[in-house]
Amino acid sequence: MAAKKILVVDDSVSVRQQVTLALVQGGYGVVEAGDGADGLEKINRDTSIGMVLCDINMPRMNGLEMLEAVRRDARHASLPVVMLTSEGQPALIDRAKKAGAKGWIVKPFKADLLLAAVKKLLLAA
Amino acid sequence: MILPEVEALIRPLASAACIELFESYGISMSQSTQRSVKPSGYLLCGAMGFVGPQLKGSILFAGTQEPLRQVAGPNPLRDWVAELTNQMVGRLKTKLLRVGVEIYLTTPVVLRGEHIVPLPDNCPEPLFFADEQGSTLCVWLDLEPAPGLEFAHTPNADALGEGEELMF
Repeated sequence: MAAKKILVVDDSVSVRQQVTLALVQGGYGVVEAGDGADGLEKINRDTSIGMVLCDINMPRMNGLEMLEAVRRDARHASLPVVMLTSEGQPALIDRAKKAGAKGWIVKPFKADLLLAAVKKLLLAA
Repeated sequence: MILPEVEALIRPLASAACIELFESYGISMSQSTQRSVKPSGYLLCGAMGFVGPQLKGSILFAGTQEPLRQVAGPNPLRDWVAELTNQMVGRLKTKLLRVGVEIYLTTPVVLRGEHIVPLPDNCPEPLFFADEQGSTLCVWLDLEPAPGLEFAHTPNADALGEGEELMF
């Protein structure tokens, strides 16, 4: 079976590059999306995506809206989604947890912690 | 609580947010008493608005290219200024949440130009920062507190801090 890719959803090109670099150095394949709507389209189209790292504050569709849309689709019921954001607000974390997120990481991220979380979630998926 | 009192409480939080942000990228900035940004080349300015039940306003974050370029590395500078603004205001948001003040953020926008000087009504002096090489940054706070704004006396430590993670 082909290795699953990780979808990185963030409106900042720089953050996508940083996250992608960390993931590629960790041996993972990466797909990028610039906002929640783009991310949702890629999740629906690309069956090789096995996990999603997603920002919250983005234009068009934010990360929580994308997460909720993903969970409404039975095909993606078990797709692990981790929020990667500058936000740390308990109410938002709670909303993400209830919507089915698997984790929450506050930027700036530490590459080793990110890779450990990705490895754990991909093994569990 | 009147505006000068609110500013007196929030300015140190904004200052700490800016200094900590650059520290996290290995750049030591300290608050400076200078009154303008050194005009070395064009300025980059990131702006973010925020709203909340007790406080609304905006924050503008500007700098000469050097410290921003150091942090951005090979990344596109304009895009990185937007992300730095986002991360700085995110830090301020967490600090405000810990004193019981909740705000919601807009997405950042970036301006480029020379001699950028926002002058909102009753705008207090910006916060200035400098490093040992003379690179400068400044942060303008434009705050509109609601009449009933109060800061919690007991810090709320529930909010996740920068670099922290929570797995469900």
